[in-house]
Amino acid sequence: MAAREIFQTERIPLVGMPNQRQATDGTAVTKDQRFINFFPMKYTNKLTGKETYYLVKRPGFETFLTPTAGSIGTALHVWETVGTAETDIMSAWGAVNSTIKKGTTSLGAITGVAKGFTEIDFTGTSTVVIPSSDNTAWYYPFGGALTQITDADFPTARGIQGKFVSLDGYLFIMDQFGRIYNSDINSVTAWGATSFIETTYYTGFGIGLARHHDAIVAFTSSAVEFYTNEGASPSPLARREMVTVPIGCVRPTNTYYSSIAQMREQLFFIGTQKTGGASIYKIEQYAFHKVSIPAIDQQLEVAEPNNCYLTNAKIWGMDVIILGAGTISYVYLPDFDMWCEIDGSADVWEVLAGGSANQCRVFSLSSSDTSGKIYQWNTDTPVWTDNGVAYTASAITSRVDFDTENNKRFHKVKLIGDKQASTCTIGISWSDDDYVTFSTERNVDMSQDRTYLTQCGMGRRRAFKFTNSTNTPCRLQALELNYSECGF
Amino acid sequence: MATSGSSNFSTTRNELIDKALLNVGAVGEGETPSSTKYSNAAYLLNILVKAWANDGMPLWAIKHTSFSLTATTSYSIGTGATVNAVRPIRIHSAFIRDSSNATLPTDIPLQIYTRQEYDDISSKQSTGSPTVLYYDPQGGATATGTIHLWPKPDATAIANKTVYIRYQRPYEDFDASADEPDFPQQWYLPVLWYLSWMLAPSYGIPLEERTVWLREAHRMKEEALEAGMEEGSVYFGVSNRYGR
Repeated sequence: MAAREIFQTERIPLVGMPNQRQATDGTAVTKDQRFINFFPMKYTNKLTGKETYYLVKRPGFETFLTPTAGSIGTALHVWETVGTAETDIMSAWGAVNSTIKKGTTSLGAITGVAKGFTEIDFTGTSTVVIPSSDNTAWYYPFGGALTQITDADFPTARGIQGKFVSLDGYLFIMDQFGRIYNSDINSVTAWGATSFIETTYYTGFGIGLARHHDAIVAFTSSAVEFYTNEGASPSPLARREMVTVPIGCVRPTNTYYSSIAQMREQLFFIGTQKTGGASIYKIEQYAFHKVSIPAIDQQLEVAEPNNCYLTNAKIWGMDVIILGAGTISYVYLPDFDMWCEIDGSADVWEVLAGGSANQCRVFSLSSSDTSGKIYQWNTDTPVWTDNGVAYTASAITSRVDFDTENNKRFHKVKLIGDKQASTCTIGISWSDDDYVTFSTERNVDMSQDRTYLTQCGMGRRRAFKFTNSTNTPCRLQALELNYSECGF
Repeated sequence: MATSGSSNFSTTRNELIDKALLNVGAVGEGETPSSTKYSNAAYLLNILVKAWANDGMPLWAIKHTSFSLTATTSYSIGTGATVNAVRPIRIHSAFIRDSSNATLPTDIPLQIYTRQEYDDISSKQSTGSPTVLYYDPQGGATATGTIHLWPKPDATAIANKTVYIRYQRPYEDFDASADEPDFPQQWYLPVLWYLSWMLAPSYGIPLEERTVWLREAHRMKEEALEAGMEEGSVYFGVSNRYGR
């Protein structure tokens, strides 16, 4: 093909999927296209159908409360009940025996580590129920006292898995052998010795329960089964036929990690199969969809699936599923079916909780640092630091070669994005050697009109990197390249 | 308006290479070229300025030296040679100074002969006061040139006379990264663009663009050359040498 005319201009949308290749040494994959702390967004003109794509810097996490400085957090819950406030947020702290806090007020300690909160309202009093890592269970009626469920028929001896779920006045918990135990109707404290149903369609261990429409979803290590309330006794449940799928769910090694995330009527879980490997699946309308992409699946294997976790929230109107996978935390955005990464000086997003009451804000805590803080993922008056520490948003593109291996002289590299009100520095660098080395960053300021670099050298297959660490918003749209193709 | 008051701007070998590599796009702004890029460009830069020795005798490259006569027709010239000076590319003019009257020495021009003219001298060993000089620059970077005089100096010439030559010296090499060009400041621009043009094929710069660069670089060089020529009258006369 003849050399192209000199000084061509190409505009490349700055969105895409992570497409890292497999690392060969068992370490995290870091090459190829990545978007870190930049979330992809798509806006569609309903009339013209034209779609516009953006990369939006995620908001930061700021301190909301500090209930237990010096401890890690393991569970978080925002009350849904009328009369409660966001400052009544429930949290569990400590790596051995959890201290339960309502806001900053201690409700006492439980034995073992709290794995989560489930809010129910059987008798007119909102109550949270807390499964513990030592197989005990606890409850706290709002305004009451933190109390252990002491019924001798509660399956403590069989080992409980996951969190409680409720349906039609029953409280359900799974044991490690796959039984689904239920409480007496409208009771938290009363449990029957025979009030259970076996999940035996496929042989496997119990992982946990969730809700899906009017069904209880039972996750085992070998299958996902659906149970509905058929009014039977002693267990009211009966398996819903034709929808069981032999995809197992990962059991996290860390007892307070969850491999299941519920986003309204969508369920996400870290799934495994007899054939090996792990992926992220979505259950919607009783149907299963694999949503993870090869780069994610590879990282799941690198990090080992049982060391990973899922958590979720909704910000800026977008559902956000976070997958902690070793040294990398991924974000899945179901609205766009896109993946990106989230990163910071501390993983302050390990447990997310949002509320539908009050200001509908999203809160988080970290189960790996000991700040003892509850953070607010503030989207109405966002900050661009995590716990006061700047984080870096990075976008690394795939290698740009315009379908030829010929050398290209890059005369101008322009960043298309929003003009910011204050200095918003974007460092631009590139790699011409397959991501091994990047050039020294040169900066543009998105608060200025001229957001471009000139004299950008020559490359055959060039990957660009954009980084922003300033305490400012940042929304990028495209990369515009002015280049000329050389003769070879 | 205040001006700097200085006119001592200079540049270095690597600064020229940096800018030339930037021109061809081999590096981006602020990027440091690899050592291979530097060495390749330095090679081209050196052969470029060597080639420019063909362009005549810009004033700044005209030097003079002198040497005493001995009873020989041939004198080697070069660093460490009989005449210890940089080996001339060509000798532009020469004269012989008779200092027998110390207070009033007399300069007598020497005719600069071509090789053919010198070869045509039948009796090269005849003696007297030299009237003819032929310079054989010889080849190779380290070779010495040879100055031939005729007639061979006799005792009187040896005792009283000294030869003065004005010659074009070669441009100095760019050896070290910080070496400054052996050119006046007005030459920096053509050096830069000629170097860019020489680098261009290696980086696949299209022919059309290279052609424009060469044309512009050549124009810059011509202007620089003109500034380096001596202004003076030109005289034409009839040669009194046989056969001319």
